[in-house]
Amino acid sequence: MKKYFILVLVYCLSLLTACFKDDTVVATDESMISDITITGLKDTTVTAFSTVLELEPEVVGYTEDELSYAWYVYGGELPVEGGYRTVKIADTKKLSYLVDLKQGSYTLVFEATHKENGYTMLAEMDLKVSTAFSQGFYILKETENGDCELDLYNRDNGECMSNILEATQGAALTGAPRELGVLYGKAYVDPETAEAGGANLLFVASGDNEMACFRTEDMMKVFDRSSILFGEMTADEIPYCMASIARLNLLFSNKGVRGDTPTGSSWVEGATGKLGYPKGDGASLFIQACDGSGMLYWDENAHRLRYYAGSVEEVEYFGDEINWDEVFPVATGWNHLAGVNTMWYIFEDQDGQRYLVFVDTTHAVTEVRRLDPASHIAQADVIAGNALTSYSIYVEHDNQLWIYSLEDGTEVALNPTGLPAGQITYLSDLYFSSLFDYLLIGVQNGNEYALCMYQIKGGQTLGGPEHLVEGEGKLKKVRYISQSDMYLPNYYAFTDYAVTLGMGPDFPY
Amino acid sequence: MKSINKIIFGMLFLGLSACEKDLPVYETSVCQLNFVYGTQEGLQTDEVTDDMRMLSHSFILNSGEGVMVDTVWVRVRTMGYLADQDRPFELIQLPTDGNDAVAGTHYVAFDDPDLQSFYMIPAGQAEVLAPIVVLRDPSLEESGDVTLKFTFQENDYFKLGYPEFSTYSLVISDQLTKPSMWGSCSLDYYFGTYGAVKHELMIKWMDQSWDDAYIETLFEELYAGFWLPKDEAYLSYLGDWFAEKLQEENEERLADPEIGDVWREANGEPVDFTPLSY
Repeated sequence: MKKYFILVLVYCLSLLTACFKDDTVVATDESMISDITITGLKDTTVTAFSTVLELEPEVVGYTEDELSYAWYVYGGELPVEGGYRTVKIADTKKLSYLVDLKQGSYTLVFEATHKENGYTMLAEMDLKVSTAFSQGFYILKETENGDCELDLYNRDNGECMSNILEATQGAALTGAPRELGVLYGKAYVDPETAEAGGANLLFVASGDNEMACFRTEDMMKVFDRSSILFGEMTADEIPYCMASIARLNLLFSNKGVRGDTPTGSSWVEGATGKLGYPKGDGASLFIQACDGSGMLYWDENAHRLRYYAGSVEEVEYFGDEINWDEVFPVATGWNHLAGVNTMWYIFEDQDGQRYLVFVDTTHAVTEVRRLDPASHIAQADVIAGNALTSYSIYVEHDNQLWIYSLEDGTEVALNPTGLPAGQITYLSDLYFSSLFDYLLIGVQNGNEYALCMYQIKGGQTLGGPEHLVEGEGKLKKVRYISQSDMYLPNYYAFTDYAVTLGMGPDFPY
Repeated sequence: MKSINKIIFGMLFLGLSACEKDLPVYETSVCQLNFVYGTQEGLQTDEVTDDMRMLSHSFILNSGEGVMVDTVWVRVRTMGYLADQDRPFELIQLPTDGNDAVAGTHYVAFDDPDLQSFYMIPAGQAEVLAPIVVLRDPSLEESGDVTLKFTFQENDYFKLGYPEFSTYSLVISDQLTKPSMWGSCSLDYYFGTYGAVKHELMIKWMDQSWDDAYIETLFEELYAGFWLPKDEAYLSYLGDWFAEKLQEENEERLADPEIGDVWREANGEPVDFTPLSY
């Protein structure tokens, strides 16, 4: 009997096993083939239709006669149906390729194949294709004639293009420069094809009430004050600035705030990008991030801090340390040290008394600090907040730089190495995501400017300027524009992702 | 010993067999009928809204001047096997709590012999456009709108389909009526709640019909029954523009001693373009 149980048990176990054929072939020294090793390819950025990309990777393992080669490119707007081999650009080891691709991000693939055994090895590199205008530091300046011009500095190749408006539009914008802003995914209608689309735009305000928006791909003007609204912009309206925040692209003017949705965050395309009626009473140049959804701004007509995210709200303040009706704004900033968001404004009253006002992410004033009239920050002409590395504000007083601590109000001198002589007229902590974070210092000597870009560590400048840009004209403002598609700009800095994943601010206002 | 052999044999047999669920073959001969709402495919029963079951025909809005008879088309689709011969279907009116349309007065009766050739699913097809012939009776102008609610009448060929897809309510009017797209596109959230006077003013100010066809040009159906504006900023602008026009005209009307009042709807409520809040 016992043996039958054993038989049944063995049978059951046999049912649990799977049959397989061991078809392993053990390699021998004779059957093994040599590996192909490819080195020497590095990610690169090139300019569309002007760069001849020359590459020659190192290939080890076989002689050149034993191998065949191929180069492919994929990504951007290229078709994807056939995999990475869809677009072949060369079949030689050495690549010499005039980059005739549209602006975008691509991948370059180099393939080496043994002619006899078919063994193939490939290597990839990222290829970012930009246009001459699609990415870089735009420098807003006043020409010797008092008009508005732009220079563009490319930190990848260290080149600076001067007087872009004259080169692309035929002339500088009339009147002195007032403001420079960046819009990501702004809806517009192409003036040449009448097709609706979306693009990154540069906003420039000049003269008494002029404005223009340029598509950074080619500097085509897509909006001005005659075309930005569905209706007519009245003669007394002064467009101050435009900015992107999360799902909004906003226009601030002395009439109020208007907004529309970036093309990337809408399910339906086809918007014209034109704007409707203004909300609120008025606005000003002093705008700031606040909660990742909307923006803070100073309403110069109502003399109140406001918040806009589709509708206008007043920033709550129940104290009496400051009389809003008697102050005007001097500066504003956004500090994001260690993932904590602090927005601040500096106001000055008619007696010259300055106040530092803190606003939290619930659009409420949390502190009003009376600034000591003897302090440098209370007398400074140029003010810019540190954003990411220090809880402080940079100020210029009597052509000397100081760092004001937001924590305790102390001030320490800042003496950047290698700063050219001249009058300091511009300060900005300019960053773009995790790509870079520079303290920008503009020094003016007559009609010549020097723009120094310093690395920052703990709020202090680190070494000499990493980039030094020199040009003609009076420097007014610098903003960086990326050719990337920005999804929900400056939104994640206000979420838990800021601390857990380091998704901080994307760019300052 | 014998029983042990049987057990082993049984287990061997069991080991050789494979489990398989015997799925039933679709062989029902019952065919059913549904209406097709909207323009996109794939609408699920739980996605159907009352707005989708609403149609409107305003002789003022949708027909030319002097046109006394007009046609509204509805899509009818079958469920089940196709047939190699034409199959007739029937429609019947359902009562509502409101002002019901009267056959022969407000619409051509569904059993009218002239319509029978249209109420037919052609051989080899599963869908047809069925006409609802509406009549411009003077009572529409005098007494207001009527509603024609209808469904399918089961016959030898077809049973009723899904209840959610089985009725339509057609508002027949010789005045301005709320376009069905007004609800589908949630225009209340751009222009405030619908009103006939508001509608008339919108048409007058823009010189656009503001009927279903025009409203549809401003929106895109993202998926079945879910419409999104092509340019939300434009709709917001229109809402503000209408409000501004209304304010201008109201000021003129108030200043005119012969009028002395603002624009009002038939129920006495002032016309108001304030959008509903989400």
